[in-house]
Amino acid sequence: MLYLIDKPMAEVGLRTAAEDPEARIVLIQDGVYLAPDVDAPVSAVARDVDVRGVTLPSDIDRISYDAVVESLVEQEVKSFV
Amino acid sequence: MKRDVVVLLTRAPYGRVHIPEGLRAARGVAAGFDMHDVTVIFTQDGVYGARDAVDREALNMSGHVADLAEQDGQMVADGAAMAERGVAEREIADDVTVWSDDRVTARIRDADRTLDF
Repeated sequence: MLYLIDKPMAEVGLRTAAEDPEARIVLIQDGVYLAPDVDAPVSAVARDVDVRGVTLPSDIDRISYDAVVESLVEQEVKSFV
Repeated sequence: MKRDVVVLLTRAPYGRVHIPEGLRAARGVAAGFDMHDVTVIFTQDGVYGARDAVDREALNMSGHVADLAEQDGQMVADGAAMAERGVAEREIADDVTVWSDDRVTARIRDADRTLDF
C-alpha cells in the first residue's frame, strides 16, 4: 500500500505505515522536511523538495509528481495529507 | 454498498471547527442509506477532545455524538497519541474507548475510506 504523508498528519500516518510490511511511503508538501525512521522505502516529491530547498537524507529517493500520480492509480493508497 | 469508514480527528479542540465538523461528517456517513460502519478516532492532538473535562456544549459536539451513537458509530481514543501527550486513560470520557497503537493503525489500514479533520 502507498502511504501519502504530509507533515501535519505524519505522527499517525507513519505509525500506520510502520506496521505494514508492504508499505511504500511518499512524503509530499511539508512532509519532505521529515526524516522518518521506518523500515519501508521512502520517497519525497522532487518538486516539493526543490521549492523548499531541502537536502534529503541519503535513504530517501526523489520521485516526480507524475510518477506519484501513476502510483496513486496503480495501487491502494492511504492519504495522510 | 456498506463500507468501513474511519474518521480521524487530529486537531485539538477549541478555536477551530475540526472536531465538531468531523463528528458531523461521521454521523452523516453513518446515517446514510448504506448504513456504513463508522469509527471516529481521536488521534494526535485530537485526543485532547476525547477527555471528560472538555465542555462538549461549547464545542457543539453533543448532538453529533448522540446521533452517531444512535447509528452504532463508535468513538475511539488513540492510546499511543495519549501517551505521547501525557493524557491518562482515566481522563477519557465514558463514551470513548481507548485503543492500543496496533489496534488503531490496523483499523486505519483496513478501512475502505478514511476522512481526516
